[in-house]
Amino acid sequence: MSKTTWVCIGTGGVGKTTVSAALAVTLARGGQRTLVATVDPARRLGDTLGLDRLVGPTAVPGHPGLQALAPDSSAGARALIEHLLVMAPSHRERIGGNALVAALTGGFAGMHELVALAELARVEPSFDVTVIDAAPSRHAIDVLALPARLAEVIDGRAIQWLGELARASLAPGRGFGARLLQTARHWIVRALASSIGSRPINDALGLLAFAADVRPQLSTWIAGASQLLAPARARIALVTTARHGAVDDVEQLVAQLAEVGHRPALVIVNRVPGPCPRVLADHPGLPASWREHVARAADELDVARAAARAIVARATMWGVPVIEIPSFPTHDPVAIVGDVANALSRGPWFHGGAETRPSAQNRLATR
Amino acid sequence: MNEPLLTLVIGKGGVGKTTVARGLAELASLGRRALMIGYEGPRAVGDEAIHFDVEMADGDAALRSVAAEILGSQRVAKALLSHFAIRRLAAIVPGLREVALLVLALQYTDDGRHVVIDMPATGHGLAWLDTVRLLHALEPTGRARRLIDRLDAKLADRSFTKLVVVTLGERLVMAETLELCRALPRRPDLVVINGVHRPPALPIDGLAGIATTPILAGAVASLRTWATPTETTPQLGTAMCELPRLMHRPTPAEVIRALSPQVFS
Repeated sequence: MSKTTWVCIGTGGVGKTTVSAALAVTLARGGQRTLVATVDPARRLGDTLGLDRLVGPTAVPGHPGLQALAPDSSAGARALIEHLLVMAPSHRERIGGNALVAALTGGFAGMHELVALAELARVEPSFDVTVIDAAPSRHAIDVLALPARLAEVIDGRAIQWLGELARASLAPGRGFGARLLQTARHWIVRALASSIGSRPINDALGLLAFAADVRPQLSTWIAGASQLLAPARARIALVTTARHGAVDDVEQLVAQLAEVGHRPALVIVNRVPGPCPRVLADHPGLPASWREHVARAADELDVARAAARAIVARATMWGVPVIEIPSFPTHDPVAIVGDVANALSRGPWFHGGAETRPSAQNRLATR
Repeated sequence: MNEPLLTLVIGKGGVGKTTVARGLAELASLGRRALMIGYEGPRAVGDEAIHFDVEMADGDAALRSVAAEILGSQRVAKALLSHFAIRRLAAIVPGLREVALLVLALQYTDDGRHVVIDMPATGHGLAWLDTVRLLHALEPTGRARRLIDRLDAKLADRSFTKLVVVTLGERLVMAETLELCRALPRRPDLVVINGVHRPPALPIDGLAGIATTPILAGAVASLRTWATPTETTPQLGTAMCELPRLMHRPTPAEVIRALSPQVFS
């Protein structure tokens, strides 16, 4: 069986975390060893599965074959640096006193996705399928594009140039000729040091020199993350809700996905209410004081259902499988996950529908 | 002149930050010239009648402008940031553009304008705050130091900056918002809960006798879903207000109406 990564994306508050958990439950029920993970520092994945801590892959009670993970970015970043220091021990002293490294590994929000992806790439080989609960909207797209942007630095000439700059600046005891060749670089470093300070510049240079020396390891790590999110392997579940304006959100996300070479494999319309035909408002048994409220309910439910229909029509036009999840009259996240999982497993996408990959995706994958 | 000049609208993506920012910018425009900066630019207001300026947030331009201020030269900043290696490096440092945007917004307030920033929804809605902390930890000196210190002082000053957090009433989103509020450098000045649904209390169980046909039974079930209100939100120890769930995007006037009891108190 080929490996799959499902990435759930959507705007905030549409129920991405719930849908991610439910999707994972559904896949695990189908007999696949499933890992569900969040790459957003704020996500409440544990709450949806009734779990407290998700630092390492944690078995989800009641769901054989399902494990959940919410990587701890501080611990993960420190472990990563430690792992890299074993490869380049000469940097240990300088990295140990490096304020930039300390700040980056001390729970820096921007490091979270990097570390989460590294952790995922490390543990995912023991699973058949990984479900990623991504950060809201624009940021989710950034996560998808992250490995490529990192690769631009690490695999290209950039890291070599930066590494040489760092080495030359940190060890200036070279001959006059070598110094002359470095004039441009020294000029840049001097200009920065005079307006920012020499300590931050030295810390940055120390980190760059270190990164240049462990480039092969970083490269392998990025390749792992790349593979996890490559268009050939990742399936995007675009999550939305049945409300006015949702069609615009969906179209915008699809356009943003296209920019990074992805297209949705599944559209999930969450919280689609049932119809409330006017016969109820007109029913003689209804208390007279309720008529106005029921009529308002019917109007509002119509707006939501029309939004859901519009999204279904778009998805159908794009040739993307779409599934509607009803809204449930409860607020309990664990109960909703069970209900959503049941709704998902009834969809045709689950029974082979999503296995057929549209040809456009293959074309984009070769980009 | 103790009126704030900078409003930061913070929250995760899709919770209605832009809608709230529009309302707050319109409110600010009653007193002075107002400017709204956001990643949606003029698209955020569409064809609505507004009384404030709108500017597209351009993180790269902001970064160039701030770099020019730090380095003391526009040409040097431009040359540095367009260098192939530096450019790629700057692209992977998160939060940098957002911080630059804040610094730039501070400059805009110098001429007395009220600036409302519709902050980008990075994972936590907070990556930029962490970047401010990171910049401090680096112990910069010189112009960079003065810039960061000024940003800090202005963000901490309640009479200058208003921190407005936007959220939804859903349990998971609220839990994230609580974490966000804890992580802020100081308590927000206002928390706006968007899309709140407060239907009349209808004892639906009493309709069991009506649900005699499948259609009517379905209608009653739908009514039950509709009649489930947004959960009562926990007290955050800060001013809070609710924006009702509407069947259209709220206009700036509607936002002002919902916010004004809190904003004017």
